Amino acid sequence: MAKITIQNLCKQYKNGEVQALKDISLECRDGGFFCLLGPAGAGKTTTIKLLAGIEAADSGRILLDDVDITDQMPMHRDLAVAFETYALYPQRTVRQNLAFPLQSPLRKNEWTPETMEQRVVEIANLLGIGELLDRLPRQLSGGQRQRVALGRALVRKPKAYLLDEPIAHLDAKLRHRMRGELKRIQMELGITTIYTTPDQLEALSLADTMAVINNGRIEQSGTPAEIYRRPANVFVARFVGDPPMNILTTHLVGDELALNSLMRLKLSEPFRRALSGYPPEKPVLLGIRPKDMRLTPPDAPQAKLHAESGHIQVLGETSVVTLSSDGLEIRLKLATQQAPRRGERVGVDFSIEDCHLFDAHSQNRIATEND
Amino acid sequence: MNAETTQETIVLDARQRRILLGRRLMRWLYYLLTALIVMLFLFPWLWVFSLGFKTRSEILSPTIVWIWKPTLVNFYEVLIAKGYWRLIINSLIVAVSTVTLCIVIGVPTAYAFSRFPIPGKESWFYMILTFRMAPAVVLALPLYILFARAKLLGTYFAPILAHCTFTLPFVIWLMRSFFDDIPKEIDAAAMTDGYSRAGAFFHAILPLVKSGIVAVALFSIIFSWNEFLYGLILTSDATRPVASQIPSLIRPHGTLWGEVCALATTASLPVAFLIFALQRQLVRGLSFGAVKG
Repeated sequence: MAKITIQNLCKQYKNGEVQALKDISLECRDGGFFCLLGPAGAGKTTTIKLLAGIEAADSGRILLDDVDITDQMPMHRDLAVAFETYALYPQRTVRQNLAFPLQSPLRKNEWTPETMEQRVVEIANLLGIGELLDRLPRQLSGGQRQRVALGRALVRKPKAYLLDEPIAHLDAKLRHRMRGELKRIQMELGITTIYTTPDQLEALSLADTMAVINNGRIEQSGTPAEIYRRPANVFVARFVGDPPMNILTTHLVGDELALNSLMRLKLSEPFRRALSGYPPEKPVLLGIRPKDMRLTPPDAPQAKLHAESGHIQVLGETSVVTLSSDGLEIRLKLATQQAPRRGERVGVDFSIEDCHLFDAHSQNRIATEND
Repeated sequence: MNAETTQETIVLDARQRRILLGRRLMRWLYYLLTALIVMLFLFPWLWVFSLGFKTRSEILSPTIVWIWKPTLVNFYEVLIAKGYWRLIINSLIVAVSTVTLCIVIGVPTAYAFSRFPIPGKESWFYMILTFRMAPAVVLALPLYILFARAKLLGTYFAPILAHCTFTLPFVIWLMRSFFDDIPKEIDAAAMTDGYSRAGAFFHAILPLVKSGIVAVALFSIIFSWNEFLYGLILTSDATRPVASQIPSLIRPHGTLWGEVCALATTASLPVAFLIFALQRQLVRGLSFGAVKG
């Protein structure tokens, strides 16, 4: 168990052509489950590689329990890694792959052949690959290989687990189950875990703290609730939450936000105070989550916006409806039985309290006193 | 459709019969071509092999003697009477030492080329290749002088080190491509699993290139075994490998063809045996690359 601290980490590739990490600082508390959420190419795998010591950082420090391990050999860091690319040993069976970390010279006296076999079988059964122990990696499907890779990390009890998209290649049902299993394992063992994923739902449901990374920069870090409720900028607002938050470009007119001629929105008191002194010609980005909008009849007095219903995506109990109004596209999430017919005129209502405001230039959140 | 099992129950129409015939014809053509190529390569060896068992008059007869009573006289003369069996031991010593040295040095070097950021790496790599490209005569004289100064002439070290000039680049070049085919994540996985860089190399990477090493070693043995020039000029009579000693059977009063062929046949047997024994590894080594986990 350990606390992991990353301070001002930078990493370049190809002689500076690619800036993979730009001044990353993070902290994962002892026994915490930390998710690093970001799109492909954001720098998640690079962060894991630097943490594991597979690649050297250009600058910055990595601390494990306040001990600087930036220049330590990977074997002495005692961190277990599950690689996104699996990196299984092709000539070894699943059993031998899982036992390999336990056979390390560092752990020579910890394991007897019997306890080793017991541990391997235990982990294999946990991951549902108990019947595959005598197969070679090439005889496995992608999802099975990924579980072996995960198992090879979980088989020992290191200071921390570094899991790089460990369940990304499983089918949806299994992924859902593994998410629960991972959380349970981590809670039981209490081992610090750093977990990367491009899936915001995975991050929100697993993490106790998380960070959103994009283009090698940390956009925001905090608890999942903080990140979901108070996204620090437009990127985070749109990346976390599904379907993505609607972002409308508005202008400040008096104490109202105007969306062309389509809408006039009266600001609440906290927003008005936050926007006082904001130049009126400068646009304000209004963000509103699809789930926070409601449909009304088109002539209802509370309708803030009028639109025509377009594509409807049925997700089961809920549906995502795309509305269009004068070139503007808005998405709504609502119960399927409330979904309009395609082409129907509808009104849209939402509460100003559910809105998020962002600066159009910096894309950063305009904080209010409630934040 | 399989003709053997269906011809009794299903009457084939003319078109199907034509297709079947075409397929069978293609197969026979393929066999014929294979046989021709095999013959082309096998013929010189068979010719040498047969001459070894003929008497001098049978060999020099103006018409080819197709049927004769095999004799072991040539083998006795060259191997026992002249004592040339020692030369085969010499060749073995030289070839095995050369290859051992080259594998021990070359495999880790190739790994380093594949994995580490060495300044000017590709230039170094091509420089190593130029050793392999240089014809033996270019290096023969400098090597002779070097070994003479170092008092190594006439010892086994001279041909062994000289043979390394072309086998070592070969080993490094081939082994690097084998290592390049192995994802770097495998090294990384082993290192995070609690192994040092060397531990990762020995436990995780080396087992993957085993077949490759066998193939490369086998080729190196053949190169060393067949080498002529260094074996001739850098050695004494006591340390000369077999290939370089064959010219001594060309005498002023005529070439001892029977003994040449008997010696050549004997000399080719250890290598032929090795290739047969390691055939499977060789094919796997040569078709290497599909190790992506």
